Amino acid sequence: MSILAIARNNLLHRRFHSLCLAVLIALTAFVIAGGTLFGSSLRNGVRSTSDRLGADAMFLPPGAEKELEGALLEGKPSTFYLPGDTVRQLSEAKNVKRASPQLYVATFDSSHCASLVQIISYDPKTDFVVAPWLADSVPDGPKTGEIIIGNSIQLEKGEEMLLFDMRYKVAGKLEKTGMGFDVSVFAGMETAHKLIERYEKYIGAIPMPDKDAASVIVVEIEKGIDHESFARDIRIEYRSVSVILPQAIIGNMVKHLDLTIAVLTGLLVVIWLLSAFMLAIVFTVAMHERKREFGVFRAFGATRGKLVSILMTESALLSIAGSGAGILLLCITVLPFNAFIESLVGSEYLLPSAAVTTLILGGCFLLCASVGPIAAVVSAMRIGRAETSLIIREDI
Amino acid sequence: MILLVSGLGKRYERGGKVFSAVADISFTVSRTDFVCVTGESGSGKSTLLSILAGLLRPDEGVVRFEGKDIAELSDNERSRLRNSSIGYIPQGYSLLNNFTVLDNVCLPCCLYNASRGARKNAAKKAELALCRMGISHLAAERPQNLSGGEQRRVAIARGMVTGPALLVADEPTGDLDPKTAISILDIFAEIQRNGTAIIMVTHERERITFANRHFVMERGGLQEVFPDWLEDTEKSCVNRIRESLLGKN
Repeated sequence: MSILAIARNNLLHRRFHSLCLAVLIALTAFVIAGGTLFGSSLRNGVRSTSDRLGADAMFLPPGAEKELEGALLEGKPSTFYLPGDTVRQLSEAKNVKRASPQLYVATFDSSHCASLVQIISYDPKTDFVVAPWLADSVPDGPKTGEIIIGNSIQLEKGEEMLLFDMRYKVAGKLEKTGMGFDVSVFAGMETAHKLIERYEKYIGAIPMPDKDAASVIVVEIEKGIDHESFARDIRIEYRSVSVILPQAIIGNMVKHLDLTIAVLTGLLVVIWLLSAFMLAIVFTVAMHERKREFGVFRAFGATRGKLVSILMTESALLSIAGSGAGILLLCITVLPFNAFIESLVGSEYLLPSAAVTTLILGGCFLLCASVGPIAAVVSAMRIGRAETSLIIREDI
Repeated sequence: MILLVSGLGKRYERGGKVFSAVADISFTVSRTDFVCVTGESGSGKSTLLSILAGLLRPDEGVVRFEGKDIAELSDNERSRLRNSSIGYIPQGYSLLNNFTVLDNVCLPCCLYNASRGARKNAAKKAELALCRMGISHLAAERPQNLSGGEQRRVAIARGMVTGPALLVADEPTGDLDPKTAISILDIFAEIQRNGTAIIMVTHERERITFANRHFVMERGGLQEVFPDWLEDTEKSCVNRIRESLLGKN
């Protein structure tokens, strides 16, 4: 009879005891894996936002800050513009290394458009923000008459989307970002200008003051220039421009997130330690009750190592079963409601990719599967060290 | 001679005071001996038995089993020795309730080799041992479903399954009714006739009739009791021979 068979037999014999311990480990695994996944999703959400807002600064019309934030983070479509001459001046402003205009057009909920979305167009010649992450979906970017849609728009690549009574081919669909981009449509400048011309038919006027106008100018600042000073100088020089430093928005998010994750991590460590401590107590009590059994094993020739192996195998089997059950429970009960959690938490929450999620769950499984053997090691060593005759007589 | 014990001593501390559970014990056991050790509770019988079975290290003295000093062996070597050459029947009920009777008896054989072949071989040996004890029909039962006498027979079968040279039994009939106790001792006598030395500890003096040698233990000391029919000169002759074997002369 192998050590594994002996350990399995011992666990099955004390079914209720084993079940209780496995449930404790399962709950620990559920909480730790769930908590870790939640923390990772928060980090991922902020990282995704940071990556997508890849510019050092954004120039926009004064008063449009809330609208921009709503469009980028929450997916609330809006339309606003800077005049063409301002765009040209700003693109050549002092300490601007690179600048690229973006046009924002909001559709409206009617029979003329498939749904209420934010159309974001960019200039492929100057763009350095959108194209890099669009490239994963459509390497060459959208051609004229083509669009790339956000992950939450219910269309697939190759289908067509109705925008202002015109049908545009979906050239690609983005991965989930957890931001307003999930309900946005990306297009090149030519497509955007066509859309805006049609826009006039429905609201009676072209919202753009001129052909070179833009909603936002995304800017890369020269190296070594303080971003705050740069923003202040621009505000002084160009009174009709508002400056947003995306990293400042992210910075606040990161600050809150770091605190949340630190508290969460602390809680998870405490839960793991508590679980290990409780298991250690249970194992010690169980060892005490089973001393005679261990003594009998020793009496008919089991070495100390074999005895320790049996005990460690028992605790490992319990931990593996418990951790597996806990993580399975998490996959069944929580992961299917991820969209609901996202809608509750907002853009700061974005479940990592399937591979990363699997890795996190695997890591948590290993962590929780180790709790039993770690908790059992002290009592196993103690019973292994004891004189056999004393174990048999239960004198220790 | 299978066992040689010389100058054996074991001390314990209780309530801050040191006392000798086993004090300066010397004797020998041959392959055909059925040794019975009697004595009051607390006289040191179980401690002596634990030392002889390699379960406890003595503080002083030597225990040579088939020429090897048990105390000098490592824990792994002693475990191997117990597994292969010393059958041990602990006091009270010692069967593992989570295993069937057959598995309980098989366990010592599978401890160092759990291969399919070894398991099959162990099952055969265990069935044979159960058969010798007259309880082969209980092989699939759980120990908790057996009577005290049946459980004791299973423990003996487990102690015998590896074919040990020495069987050490601690109060094997302690809590059994007289009829069952006698049937257990009959089994021991048969085991002895088949070439396995037996050392049995008991506090029931009426059990000594089954043994060919009788020792009495008192306050850690051991004294051999010779049969009444032996003349004094013969007793002293036997003692001299044993002392020479122990190297005292």
